[in-house]
This record gives sequence, structure tokens and C-alpha cells, in this order.
Amino acid sequence: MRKVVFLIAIILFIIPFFWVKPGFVDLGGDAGRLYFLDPLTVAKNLYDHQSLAWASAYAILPYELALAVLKKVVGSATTMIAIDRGLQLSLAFYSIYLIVNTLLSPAKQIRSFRDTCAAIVSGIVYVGFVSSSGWALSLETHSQIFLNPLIFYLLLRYCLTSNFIFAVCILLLTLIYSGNFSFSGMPQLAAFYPHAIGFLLIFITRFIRRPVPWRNLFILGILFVGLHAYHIVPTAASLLDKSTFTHSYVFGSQSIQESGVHYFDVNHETLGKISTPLFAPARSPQNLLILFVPMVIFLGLMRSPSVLGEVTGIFFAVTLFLVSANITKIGVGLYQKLFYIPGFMMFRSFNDKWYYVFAFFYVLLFACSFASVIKNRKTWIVAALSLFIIGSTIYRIFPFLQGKAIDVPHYQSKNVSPIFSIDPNLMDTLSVVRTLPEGKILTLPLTFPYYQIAYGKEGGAYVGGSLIISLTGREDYSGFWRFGNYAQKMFDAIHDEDIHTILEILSTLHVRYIFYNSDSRIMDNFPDYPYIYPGLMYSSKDQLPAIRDQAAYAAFLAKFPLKKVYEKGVYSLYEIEYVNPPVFTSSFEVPTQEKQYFTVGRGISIVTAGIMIVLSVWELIWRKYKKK
Amino acid sequence: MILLSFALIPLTASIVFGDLAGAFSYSDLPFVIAFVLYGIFHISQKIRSKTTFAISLFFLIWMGFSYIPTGAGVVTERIGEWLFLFFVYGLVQIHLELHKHTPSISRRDKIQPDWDEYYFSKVQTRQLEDLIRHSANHALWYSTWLGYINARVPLYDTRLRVFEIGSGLGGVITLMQQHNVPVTGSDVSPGIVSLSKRIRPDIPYILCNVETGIPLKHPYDRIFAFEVLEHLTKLDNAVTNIYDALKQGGYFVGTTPYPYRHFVDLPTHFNVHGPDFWRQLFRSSGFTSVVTYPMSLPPFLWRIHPKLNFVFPVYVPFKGWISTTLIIAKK
Repeated sequence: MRKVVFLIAIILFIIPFFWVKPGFVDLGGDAGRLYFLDPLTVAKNLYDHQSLAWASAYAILPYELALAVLKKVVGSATTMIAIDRGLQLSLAFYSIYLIVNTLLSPAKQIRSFRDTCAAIVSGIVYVGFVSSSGWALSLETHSQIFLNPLIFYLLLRYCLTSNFIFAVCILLLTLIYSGNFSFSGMPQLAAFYPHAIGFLLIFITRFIRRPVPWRNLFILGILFVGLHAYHIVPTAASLLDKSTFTHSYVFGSQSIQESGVHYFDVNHETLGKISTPLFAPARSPQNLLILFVPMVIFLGLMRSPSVLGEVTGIFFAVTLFLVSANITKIGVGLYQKLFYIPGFMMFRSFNDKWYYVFAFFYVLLFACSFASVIKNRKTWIVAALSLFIIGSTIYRIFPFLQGKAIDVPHYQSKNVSPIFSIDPNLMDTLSVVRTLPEGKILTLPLTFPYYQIAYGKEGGAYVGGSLIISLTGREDYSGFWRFGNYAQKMFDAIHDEDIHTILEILSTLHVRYIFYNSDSRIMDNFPDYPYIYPGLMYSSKDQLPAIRDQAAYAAFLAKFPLKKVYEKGVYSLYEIEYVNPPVFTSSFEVPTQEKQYFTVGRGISIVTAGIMIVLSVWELIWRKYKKK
Repeated sequence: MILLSFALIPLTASIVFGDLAGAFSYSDLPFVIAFVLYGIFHISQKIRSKTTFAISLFFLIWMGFSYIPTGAGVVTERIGEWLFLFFVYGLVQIHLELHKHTPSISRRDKIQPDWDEYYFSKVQTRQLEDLIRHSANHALWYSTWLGYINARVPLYDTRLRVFEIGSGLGGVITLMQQHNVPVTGSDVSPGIVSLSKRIRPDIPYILCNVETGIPLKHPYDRIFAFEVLEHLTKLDNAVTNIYDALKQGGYFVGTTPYPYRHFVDLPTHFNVHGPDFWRQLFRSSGFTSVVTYPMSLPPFLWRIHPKLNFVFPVYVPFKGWISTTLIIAKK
């Protein structure tokens, strides 16, 4: 059976390699994920950008460095993305397989056929669950679909064996995927770990009847905080500093009221359909097959309820309540009250944020129930039932396995695919940007909040964070948000075509160059989003006739005192010829006070890494000595 | 914990009604009705997690219809909330089931009655005509009872050899004879044995105490014991003797009252237990398969017409009702 398990894991690993053609990538979105194109440059730019406002983003550095090493080996961004997704799928399956095996027969070295079947089926069912969201332009925190069960399993092993190697594995995993353990990943972390650790402790004390290794867990906790200090310290500083946006967002009563309570009031009915988590992913006819999963749960609990099933059922019920947040009006009221706890606002998109932990306990409950259903059944019945559930799950998620989950047209676009091959003209222009003398860059066309659109060579487009800031390290203004306090003033100036005021603002902001993408498709095929300007809710193009389309842009730019520096394809670079040019500063100006948080954090991380290495070596030597 | 489980009903009801008080709409009405029905079910069933989960399953399937674009899907979201509530109930009940102690209602301290005296105090006549009428009434009363059982295990096959423990005045054996099934009746009371022989001289009827043994000419296909087990003190012996007297593949078919207080308190009841206890007892005595069914019959209606003697497949806690566990155990 072990060979079958490995075969399934390998197949799951290989599947994402067929999702996009060689040379194509699916980048963009909030995270951008441009590190797949040039991880080292992106990492270097991030490292230079030590500002408290970016403290959370700083966490992803080790992942980018790991990708840089991978890039040396495989070379292609397409392959790197496929490897990343393949790992997510196969490790998600394999981790659940290991957990279920341990839960069903913790004391046995050799697993029974029935337990192994239950574990394999549960692994596949879990893959079916996690296929439902987050694959299109996935966020940096998406790796939690496999990190959650994998770390749970390693924690379980660590608690059972007290072998420090498991702790080292946990720490290394969290370090490589530290984006998932940063401030941005906090909703999923705060959703998963309290529940998972609670369940783990109950399992150890109640089912295995062993004392909880508090000492070991404490050491692990300390090492975790120490290792992640390089982003925890600046993030904590940014949270505690009352002048920062992060502080006011998390603790401000106005923010809690508007972004938390009000947001929940408006959205809870549409987001919190209880059938959505139970019947994910999509409303297609074959999705009815997911009914078999809850049905197995009911049949298992009806046939022979177990204490493990009962405990898992409690965790399932709690997480189902949280993921729907819509169970009776009193339930809704209760959830609404929770927003007054500082930080709970991170769960305002409850259907997303609780989904990972819900899927985890859903599958564990399924595993317990499936084990009850197949208990004492003939081997052929067990095999047939397992194949039936696996088959129905695969049929249900077949569109996902074909890669359709990532080929979702860009939001509010005219069916523009997010899969594209990089335009060499764009890359050439960006390499010129890297060589430009001091001065910041204005990226046109302007968007909201700070997105940039660039078409690929053969159709498909990138829509995401600024390419310039990530791939060249030059600070740019790609959208109205980036103008900060000047956003409204800039809007008014463009509206009035007041060139003088615009130049004044640009001069104040040390903008020296303009990066202009004259591709008409980036405006024509995106009629609304992301062209939404300050204070407006929907398409704002008509509100600013001066920059309504590319023809208007060309006419508008002609009014500025510009010197063309470079042009290739649809991409042009201009230098603004100010009458009284300002003294252009370096791209990133980070106050020294802010820098010190990063320095202290890095120092703690390095010391902790050293301690971790010493402890690992000590553990190995000690074990060898003990054996002798 | 059981009290707590009952307390959940008004608690949840108040939550739901409080919930509905906000904005009552027509679509909420079915849920209120369903919940009230469930509350009644819950009371009558005591701890029956299977019922809860069966109801949850119904809600779940109903929710599945939400994927059909038209029709029933409109109300499925609220149904989903109910599914959740039922699921939580089910968990509480599973907890109670898993952690409850087997009810100890074995009364070894009671003194065995004089069975002759016990019977004749009930029959109050020794006139043959009255006794025949009594027996015929018993047969009438048992007709739906046996019909219910016959749907689960065949009883009226003329090739079967049947033995009944505790036949009393012979209601069951009369019915069996009417279906031409060879049957032997028995009772622990010598007085009843002699009376029964006068009522039905053509049916074999023997004196037999199942706790000490079943006189055996040949193994039986079916052994009946309706409302008998609760009167026994040595259950292990009795079940072993039944097992020994059955053919391989034969069935024991019996009923015994559900442990409601009014059944437990009867002076002649020594062992009144729930279905789990009986399943465990018969399995541990070597029976290969043991299934139990709840079975309740209303009072009085059978006197109007035997067909009105409905069998309800649930336990009903009210006095006057026969609320019993049907045990079907295969050797």
C-alpha cells in the first residue's frame, strides 16, 4: 500500500506541470508573485526596503531566497510555479494520510489495510476540499493548505517521540514558508493553530494517555519566535507605534466599526452560506457528489460512534459555525460582537479565513467516520467503497485537475486570461529602468490602488503590484493610492488638466521619470477595475477625460515637458524636464529608527538559527551515544 | 448529563424562537414544526443519536438540492442552519451514549412471586368459556404485533418448528396454529399449563423454566419469549438455554419493556434494560447477529378493531402504552 500512496503523491505533484504551457506564467494579484520571475532581485529589493510599512512583506525573504536556489537548478519560472503547486497538492495529500494513519492506530507500527484505505481516501478528499479556493493568482499565504496538516503531523510526532529533529523540520518549514507565518498570514494562523493544538493535546492526553511535553513545546515556541524575529520585531514595532496605519487599522475604534462590524453586516448573508463550505467548490452538477462526504460522516457516526469521532465532531461543529458565521440571528450577533476584540477584524472575510481549519477538521471527521463505515467489512467492499469515494472526488474536481482553477479571467476584464508569456520588450525596458540615474518613477496609466497591467507576448495579461518596484528596485507611483496625501490633489489637477500643479506634486515626490505603457488593450479590455479613482466606487474613467483612454493619455502627455529616454514596443521611458529640478534622492529613504528594528530582528534570528544548529547536532550526538 | 441534554431542548428552542422573533417569515414555519417534532421525538427516544443523525441526513440531502437551479433550493440555507443544530444535538447524544453507564435495573433483591397466584389474580376466572374468550382476545391483540415482527423475520412458515417461552393463556400459540405452524407452548406456572391444555388440547404445552433448561426433543427454528425476559433473574442461564435449544441459523424472537420508570417499578420485573444491554447479552452468549427495534402499541384501540393496534417504531414513555424492545437474535 505504501507504493500506492507514493504513486498518488507523485501523480499529484506532476499534475500542475500540465496547467500552463512552457514559457507561460500566471502571475499577478495582490501578491504579484513576481519572485518567480527573478527571485534574487525581488529579494534584494525587499531587503533594501526596510520600512515599517513593509514589515509584514519582509517575512517572505527566505522563501524568495529558496526560490533563487531553485531557479539556479530549474531555470524556468513556469517550472518553479509548477513545482510550488505540485508540492502543495502532494504534501497536502501525504500529510493527511500520515495524520489519519496515526489517529486511527497510534500504537501500531504496521497499519491495517482498512486504516490505510481510510487514510488514502481522506487524503484525496482533503485535496478535493482545498481545490476550492485560492489557486487563481494565489496569495503568499496559500501554502497553508499543506503547511497546516504537515506541521500538525510533525507536531504530533514531536510530542509523541520528543525527537528534536521533528522540531527542526517544523522550524525550517516555517522559515522557508515564513510568508505564511507573518502578519499577512495571521488570520489563517490564528484560525488553525489554537484549534489544532487543542485537538492535539486532547488526542495525546485522552487517546494515547501520555503527558503533554510542555517543556519541549515551550522550547519549540521560543525557537519559533526567535527564528522569525527578523519580521516579528519590525511588525510588532509597527503594530505598537500609534502613528502607523497598521496600529490604527487593528486597534482604532473607527476602523473596527467601519472595516469590521459594518463590513460584516453588509456581507455576512452573501458570504456565509452554510452550504458553501459543505458543498465547495463550485455550483456545477457534479458537485452534488460531495454529498458523499457528509453522508459518510453521518453513516459512520450512526453505525458506531467513537470518542475520537465525537471529539473531532466538536471541532468540526465549531469551525463550521465560524466558517459560515451565519447560523441563526443570535449566531450572527455573537460573531459581530467578536469584532470588538482587537485583531478579530482579520476574520471579517470569515468564509476564507476559517476555511483551512474547517477543511482540516472536516476531513478528520470524515476519516473517523469512514473508518467506522468500513470496520469489519469484507476486503473487496472496503476497496470498492474507497475507490468509489476517490473516483467521485476526482470526477468532482476534474476541472481543477485540468488547471481550470488558475485560468479565471481577470476581475471585471473582457475575458482577459491571467496566463501569459512575458513580453521581452517589457523586460528590456525594465532593465533600462535599473540603470537610470537617481529619481523616482511615475507609472502610467494610473490605476487603483497601485496595480500595473502589462500584456503578455501571446495574449493574457499581468495585473498586479508594480513590476518596477519589484523587479528593478526603483520606487514608483503606479496608482492613486501611492500618492498618499496627494491623491485627491493629483486627481483634481488631472481633472483640470493643471500641468503646473501636477509637475509641482511630482517634483515634491522626487519623480524624475515616467514609465508609460501605450498598449490600448490595457485600457480597452479593462473597462472598470482597476481604473477606480479616489473617492469613487465604480469605473472612474469618465471622471477624468484627460486620461480616459490611450489617445487621451498621448495628448495629455504631450503637454508635459518630457524627454524620451527609451522606447521599445509599447513601453516608453521619459524624463521630466523641470524648470527648477529638485535634488533627487535615492529610491528608498528609511528612517534610521525604523532600520534598527530590522537589525535587532535579524540579529535575534541569526542567533536563534545558531542555537538551533547546536541543539540539532547535540541531539544527533546524544542519540548516537545513547544507542551505544 | 441526561438532564442537561433535556435542558438543551428549551434552550435551543428559546434560541430559535428568539432568532425568529427578529423577523418572522413564512419560510421559518417548517423549521419550527420540524424542531418541535424533533423535541417530541427526543423526549420519547431518550438518548437515540441515530435518530438525530438520520434527521440531520435528511436535512443534508435537502441542502444538496440547493445545487438544482430551481425548486427546493430556495429555503436550503435556513435548513442548513437546522442541520447544524441537529448535528450538535447528535454530538451531545453521542457523548451521552459513549459515556453512560449501563443502567443497572437488575433487582435480585426482589422475591420471586408465586406464578400461579400471579396469573390467577389477573385472569380471575377458571371457567373454560371465559378462558377461551381470554385466549382469543390475546390472539387478537398479538395479531398486529406478530405481523410487525413477521416483516423482519419470517414466522408463519409451516416448515418451521417453534417453541414459545411464557405462553400464558396462549395468544401467540393460537395465532401460530391458525397459520398451521407447528408450535410448542410453555410456561413456568403449573396452573396455567393445565388451564392452557384445557383451552387448546391440540397444541403441545409444557411446564418449563427457561432459567433451568428447555426440554428438547429436537432443536427449534424459532424460539419466542414475548414480555418474559424482564421476569427472569438468571438471564445468562436463560439466554444460554435458548441458544442451546435453537437450530443453527435459527432465531430467537422476543420483546421486553423499555426501562421507563413505570415498567421498572413493577414488582414482577427483575431485569428491565435498554436495547444496548440486550444486544450485548445475546452477542456474548454466542448469537451471530442481534438486532433490536423499538416498538410501541397504544392502549384500548385494539378493542375497537385488532387492526387499530398500531405498532409505532419508537419508544413512547406514556403510561398505558406498551413500549418494548423487539430482539431478533440469530444463532
